[in-house]
Amino acid sequence: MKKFPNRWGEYLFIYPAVIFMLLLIGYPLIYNIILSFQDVDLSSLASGDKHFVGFDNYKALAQEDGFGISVWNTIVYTLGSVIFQVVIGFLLAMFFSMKFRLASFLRGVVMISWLIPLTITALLYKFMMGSGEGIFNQMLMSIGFIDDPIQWLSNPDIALWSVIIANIWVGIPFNMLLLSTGLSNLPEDVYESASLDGANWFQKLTRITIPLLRPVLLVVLMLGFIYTFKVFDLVFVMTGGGPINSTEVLSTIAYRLSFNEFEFSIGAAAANILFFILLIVSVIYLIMINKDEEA
Amino acid sequence: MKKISSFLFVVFSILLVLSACSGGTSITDDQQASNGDSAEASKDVTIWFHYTGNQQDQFLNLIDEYNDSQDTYQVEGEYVPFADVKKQLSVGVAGGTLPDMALMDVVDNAAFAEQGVLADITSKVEEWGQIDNFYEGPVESATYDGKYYGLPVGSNALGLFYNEDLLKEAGIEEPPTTWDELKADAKVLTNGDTKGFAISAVKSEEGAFQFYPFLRSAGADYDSLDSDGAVEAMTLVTDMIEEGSMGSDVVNATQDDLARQFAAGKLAMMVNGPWNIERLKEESPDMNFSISQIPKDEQFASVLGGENLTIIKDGNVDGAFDFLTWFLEPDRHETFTYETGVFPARKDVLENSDHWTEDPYLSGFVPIMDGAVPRGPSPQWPEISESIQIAVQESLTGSKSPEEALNKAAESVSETISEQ
Repeated sequence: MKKFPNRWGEYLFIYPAVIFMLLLIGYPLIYNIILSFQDVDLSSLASGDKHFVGFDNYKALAQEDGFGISVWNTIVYTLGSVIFQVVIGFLLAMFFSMKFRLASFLRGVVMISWLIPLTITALLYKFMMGSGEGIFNQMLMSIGFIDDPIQWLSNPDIALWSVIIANIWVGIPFNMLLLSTGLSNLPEDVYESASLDGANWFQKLTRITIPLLRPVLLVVLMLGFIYTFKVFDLVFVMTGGGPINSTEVLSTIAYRLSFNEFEFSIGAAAANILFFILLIVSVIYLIMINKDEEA
Repeated sequence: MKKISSFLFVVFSILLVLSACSGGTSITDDQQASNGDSAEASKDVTIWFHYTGNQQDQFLNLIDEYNDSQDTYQVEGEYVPFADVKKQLSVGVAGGTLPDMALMDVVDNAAFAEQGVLADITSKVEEWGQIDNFYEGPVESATYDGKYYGLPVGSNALGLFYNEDLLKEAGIEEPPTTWDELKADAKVLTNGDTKGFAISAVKSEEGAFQFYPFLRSAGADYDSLDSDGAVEAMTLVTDMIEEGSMGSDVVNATQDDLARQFAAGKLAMMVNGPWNIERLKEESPDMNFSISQIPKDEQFASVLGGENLTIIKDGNVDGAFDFLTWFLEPDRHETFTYETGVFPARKDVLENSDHWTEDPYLSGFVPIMDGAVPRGPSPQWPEISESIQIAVQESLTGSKSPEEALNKAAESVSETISEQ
């Protein structure tokens, strides 16, 4: 009990951070949730006459042309991107951890793709994936891999995967960097004793490296998921959600509803669904981390 | 560890609730405050505009000139990027931080009027008495429900740009004037990497903008998308993709993308607007190009673009209107529009000046402007436009036949209109 007053003093130190988070994260979040249960367009925004309509906005959203596919696209986009980013990032991290000459220099060079502003990456890929003059098709055709040009961004069945390819390229360096750090922190003695016990390369990878990297892998997967799930710029610039609705994702549909059609409440509902899915994923992650700490 | 986090959680949730409540009231406070301010300081007029480059310089110069010319009002221009105009205005409505005037795309004027953001300036316009000197189409775009909610300050339309060198090489003397000629010529002009023709069919307003002339030429409109005319228009562009004379990439190509390909000689003909003329001259000074009417089905048709200056409802309406009429005086309007490569919204300006008729490129647009119509105008235009964009993309990518795509669009447009 004697400690109690002191504790209050300690708590004071976290208040700047708490207030900061409340203002910049808490407020918009709550505002958005309230907004999604009201009927708000530009005129009610101006007059302040916002009345509650229950789940009407969510119902309207469900009927919105392109909403269903946008949820599906967001999930495919996220899983497709994250899986390839992590696998390729991991392989590159292993490669650069071999400590050959120029390894750290080359690792730095790979980082460049992560440093380019996303809008520019999107424009570059849009050029490169052009069906006639695009370098992707030119290369694939010159090596005889394909006979006819691929309609990277104009075929509704392919467009989403084309955007995913661009996003994988963007995300590899970040994954590689985190995994490299994780790899360099692994204890060497475990590998030495494994070698003495006659473990081969593959056994070392699956029995030592991956289990020991589990916390780092979880972080990488988690960050990758969150970062990818709320994609906006890349899709908006490369395809604008088209052709048809084939690359529409939750964030682009929320943007379009809010700022193109002034359906702020329905847009907020779309944004909340995005938030809600991320919240679930975050909670799962926290539970997994807690289990790790307890174990 | 557990205790701290549960304590934090409680504090957090209490503060969240508090901040949410106070947030709600603070917004209305802000609004009252800003309304009060504008009533007191009726001298200031703020304008949000998206002009860039030369247009921006000229516009800001004119604002300075206006401020020097009188003492009653003080105008200030604030640049807002074109892509952010609608977003910023929405945020301005929510936060009570609107300007007194806003420059906007002609197609958004009706929607903002319907949503009660703009001032009804009908009585002022009638008192001013000069509206009859303006072109009908642009003025129509600034009206909603028979009332004026802005005035057009610059117009443009879409025309057919053609590369004279490529046409000559292919043995084509005159640019196509009918759809059949367009199809035939585009086929002849297509050669390897070089495509004969292109429109922008991207999933944005540009896509609907570019399809509109074809729709109107066949006698159809946004509320008759399932008519035979509309189907013919859609079949035309779809056929040209199938025949290879238009690249399938057009579903991702913006009007700027088309201009880039045209400047690089990869495109023999395209639909585009006068704002790209300067750029083409700059990027390909050696290329000979010209502008003519978009080939027709029943009649020549084009679609109007451009900007309207609108006045915000709770702003300094008197000051704003004073600046607006000053800005639109014939001489000033002539200089501003000509030097920035667009068309005047005033008939008397175009008729009494040889700037446009003498210019080798702009003169191509003179007959086009005559038959150019605004999109809509409808406050639901953004939704209608999206239905058109999707129909165009469905048909051009072969996902649906022209009829199927248009029937679906017609259905969703009639739904949108009846919702009103």
